[in-house]
Amino acid sequence: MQFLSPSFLYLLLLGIIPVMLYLFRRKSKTVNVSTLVFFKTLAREHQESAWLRRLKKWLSFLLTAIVLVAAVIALARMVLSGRDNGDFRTVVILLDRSASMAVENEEGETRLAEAKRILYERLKDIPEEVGVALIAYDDRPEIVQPRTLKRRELISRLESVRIRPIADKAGAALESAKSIASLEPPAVIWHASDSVFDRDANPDSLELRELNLALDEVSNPGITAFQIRPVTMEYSQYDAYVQVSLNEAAPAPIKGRLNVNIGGMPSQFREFELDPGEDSGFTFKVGGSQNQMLRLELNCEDDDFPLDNQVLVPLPDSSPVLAAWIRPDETEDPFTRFALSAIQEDGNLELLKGTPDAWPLSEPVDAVIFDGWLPDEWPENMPVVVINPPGSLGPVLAAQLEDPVPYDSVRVGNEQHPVLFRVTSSRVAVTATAVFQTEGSLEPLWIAGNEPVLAAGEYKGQRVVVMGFSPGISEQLPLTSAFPLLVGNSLLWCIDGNGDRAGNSVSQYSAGEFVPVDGESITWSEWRDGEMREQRIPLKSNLVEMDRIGVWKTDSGNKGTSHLLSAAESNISAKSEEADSDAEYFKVKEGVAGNLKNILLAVILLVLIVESLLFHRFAVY
Amino acid sequence: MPTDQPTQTEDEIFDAEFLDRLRALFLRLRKRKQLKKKGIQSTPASGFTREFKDYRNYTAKDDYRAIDWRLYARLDRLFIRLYEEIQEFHVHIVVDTSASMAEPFADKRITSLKLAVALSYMGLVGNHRVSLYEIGEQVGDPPPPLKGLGNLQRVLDFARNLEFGGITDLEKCFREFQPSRRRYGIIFVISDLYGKSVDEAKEAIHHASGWPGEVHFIQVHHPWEEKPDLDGEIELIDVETQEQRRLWFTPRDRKRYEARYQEFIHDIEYACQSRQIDYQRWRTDYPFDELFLDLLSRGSALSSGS
Repeated sequence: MQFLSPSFLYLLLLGIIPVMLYLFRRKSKTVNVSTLVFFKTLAREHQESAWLRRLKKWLSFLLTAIVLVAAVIALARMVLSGRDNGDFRTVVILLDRSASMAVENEEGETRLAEAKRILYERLKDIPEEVGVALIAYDDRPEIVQPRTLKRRELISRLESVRIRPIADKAGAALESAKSIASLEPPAVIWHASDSVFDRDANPDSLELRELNLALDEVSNPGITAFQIRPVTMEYSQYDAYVQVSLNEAAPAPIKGRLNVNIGGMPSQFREFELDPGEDSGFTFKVGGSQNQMLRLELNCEDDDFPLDNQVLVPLPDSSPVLAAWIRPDETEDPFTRFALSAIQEDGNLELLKGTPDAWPLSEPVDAVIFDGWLPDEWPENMPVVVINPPGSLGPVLAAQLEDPVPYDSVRVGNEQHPVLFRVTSSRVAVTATAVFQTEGSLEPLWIAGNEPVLAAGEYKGQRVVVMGFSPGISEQLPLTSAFPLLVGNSLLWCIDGNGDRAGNSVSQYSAGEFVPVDGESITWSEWRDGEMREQRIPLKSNLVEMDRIGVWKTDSGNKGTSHLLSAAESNISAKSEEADSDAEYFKVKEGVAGNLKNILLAVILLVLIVESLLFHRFAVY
Repeated sequence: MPTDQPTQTEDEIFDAEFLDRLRALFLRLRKRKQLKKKGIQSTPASGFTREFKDYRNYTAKDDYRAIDWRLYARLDRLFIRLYEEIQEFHVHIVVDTSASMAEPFADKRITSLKLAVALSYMGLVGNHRVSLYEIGEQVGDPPPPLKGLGNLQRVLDFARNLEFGGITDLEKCFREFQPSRRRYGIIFVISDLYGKSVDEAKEAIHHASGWPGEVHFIQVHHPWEEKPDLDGEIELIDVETQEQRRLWFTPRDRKRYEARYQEFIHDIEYACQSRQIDYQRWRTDYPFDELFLDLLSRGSALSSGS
C-alpha cells in the first residue's frame, strides 16, 4: 500500500469535526406543551425506540466518517499495487519522437500516442514528491521539461511532443538523461521507444526501464538511399540511384513497385521483390528540365510505415562542365588541344586555358588539367588530371625521364575502368616521358614495360588521373581516337566523383540537419494526401532545421531537399520478449490491485446514496 | 420555552394591593362611562325594570308595539317611547381549569384567576348576581350566585380553591353549560380554547350562541404558544393527555406552526363575530389593567351597570 499524495492525509484531521459533533451533539429535549394539536399538523410522528435512535445516530456518524476517510484516501491516492516504484526521487522520461514512432497499430494508434497514454497512466502511480523530467529525442535530444513536481505542467508538455520525420540517435539522448538523473539521485530513466538500449552496453548503475512500443509484427519496405546527378556532357539527362529495403523483422517477403514521376506525370516504374532484411538498388536515367519535380513513390501492399516511401527532389541544374587546362606556353601540345577541342564541340565542356601564372584560379572549376606542369601546392578541392608530370606533388610521385622511352604497346591493368571506356588499348604505342609510383589508391591502367604510364584513383576523396607520357611524341596515340576518348573519360570520371561540382546546386540533406541559409523566408513544398502543398515560413535565424520531408527554397535563392533516407530508421524492429522485460513495470493497473480512486469514489457515492435514502426517504433523524 | 415558572402565590394574587387596583380600575371605568353617557344609549340586553327616558320618531324598523298611541291621538304623529333600563342581571364567569391553563405556563392560570376575580368584583360592585363555574372535562357544579361586595371573600376563596388539571372537552362543556333564562346576564368564558383538535373550539362556539345573555370569550395564551422557541430534535409532551410526539423542529416548521396558530385564532375570532359573540385575546405578557379596561370598554353591559 502506498499513498501517492500523502500530504492530503492531513485532511484526516477534519475527522475531528464529525467526532466532536457526534460527542457533543444536541441531545433530544423534552418539552411540555399545552397542546399538541398544532404540532401534529407539521410532520408525521416518529415514534422509535431508544436503541433504534441510538443506532441511527451511530449509523449517521459511521457513514459520515466513511465518506470523509474515503475522500481523503482518494485525494491521497492510495494504491495497493505490488508495483515496485523503487525509492527514487527523480524520473527522467526519455521519449522517442523519431519518424518510426509514427507506425500505427491495428487501432490506428501511433507508437508515440501509445507511449503518451501509457506514460500518462503510469505517472499517476508515481508519488507526487518525485520529480519528473521529460526529454524528447530524434537525432538529438531536447529537454522538453526539466525536473518538476508539477504534474499538470508535465502532462501538458508530454502532450505537446509531436512525431518528427527524423531518424533517431538515442545515444546522446541517453547521456542527457543520465546528466539530468544525476542531479537529483536516486533516479530512474524511462525509455519510451520502439527500440531498446543494449543493456550490456550501458552497464551503469542507473536504473533504466524500457517501455518498448514496438509492434509484435511489423513490415516496412522503404527507400533508404537516393542519388541523382546530371549526366555529364548530356543535356537534361540525369542518372538516379535508388535503394529500397525491407526491415529485418518483416514477417514475410514482399513485392512492391517503385513509381517514378517527373513534373507530376508518371515516367517509369520498377517492380521488385524483397526478403526480410534485404535491400535492392535501382539505377535509372530520367530526362527533364531543371527544377522539374522528381517524385519517387514506393507502393507495397503490406507497409506499416509510410514516411520512408517517398522521395521528392527537383531536377538539378545541368550546367556544362567547366575545366581548366594549365600548361606552360612552350609545352602546349597540339594533340592535347585537339582532343579537348573535340569534346568542346558538343557544348558540354567549357575549357579555360592558362599558363602557370593563372594559378591559383580566380573562379571554381569542375576539374583541372596540369599538362607538363605542377603547382607548388596540391589542390585538394577539385579533381585533377596530370599529363606528363614534371615532378612529384601530392599523390603524384613522379620524375621526368631525361630520354623519353617509346613503347610499342601497353598492357592494360583494369580494362573495366571507366577511364578506359571504349579506348582501344591494343593499338596504342606511347613514349613515356616520366615515371611515377602508383602507391596508395592509384590504380595502374596502362603499363609500358614495367612502369605504369596511366593510372587513376582517389586521393583523400579526390579523383586523380596521371598520364606519364607526352601525346606529341607518342607516335601511335595522338592520331587515333583513343586519346580524345582517354582525355574525355578522364575528365568525366574525375567530375563524376565530385558531387559538389559547380552547377549542381540542389543540395540534399537528411531530415534533422541544420542548414545555413539567408533570406527572409523559406518555402517548403511537401507531397501530402496526393497533392503538393506549399507553406511559407518566416526565417528566424540563418540556420534552418530540416524538420520535415520535402523541398525547400528561400527567397534569397537557397534551395534543397530534405529526406529521411535512413536505413536504420526504416529497419523497424518488432517486439521481442527479451526487449519487453519491463512490460509489467509499465502495465497500467486499476481496481483493487492499483489505483483505488475509482473504487473510493464509488464508495463515497454509495454512502451518500444510502445517507440520502435514510435521511430523506426514511426520515431518519 | 415552556417552564414551570415560579409565579406569585395565590395569597399574593389576592392581596390588598390587587383589590385596591380593582377599586381604582372600577373608578376609572365609571369615569369613562360618564364621559361617554350622552344621548340615547341602548343595550341589546333587556332588564327587569324600565324607566322612561325619551321619545323618538317611529321608523319602519321599530317594533310597532312600542308606539305611544296616546301621543298619536294627540299629535297625529307616530312616536315610540324610549326607556333606560335598570339592569339587574347575572354575571356568569366560566374558568377553564384544564391542565393546559396551568402548565407549562403558570402565568395563564394566574391571569385567568385574576381575571375571574376582577370580573366578579365588577359584578359585585354593580350589585349583580355573580356565578362562578369551572370547566374541564365537564362543567363543574357552581356555587350559589353571589351578590354584594360582601361576598368578595367567597369569590377569592373560590378562586383559591380551584384545582387545575385534566383535559378540556370544549364541545361537551359548552353544550352542557346552559344557564336558565331566569339567570339571563353576561357570560365570560376564560379559556385557552385548546381542544382535542384544532377545530374543536371553532365548532364548540356555536353552542354559545344559544346562551342567555351577552357572551364574551377571553382567550388566555402565553406568547411562547404563539411563537415557540424550539429547534432541533425535541420530544413534546401534551400536559393534558400526556401524549408524546418526537419531532425535528426546523425554522421552516416554526413558521408553519406560527401560521397555523394565527389561523386558529382567526378562525375563533371569525366564529365569534359571526355569532355576535365578543372575543378578546389575552396574552399573559401584556399589562393586565390595559387589557381589562379594553374588555369592559367594548360595550359590555357590565361596564354600564351601577
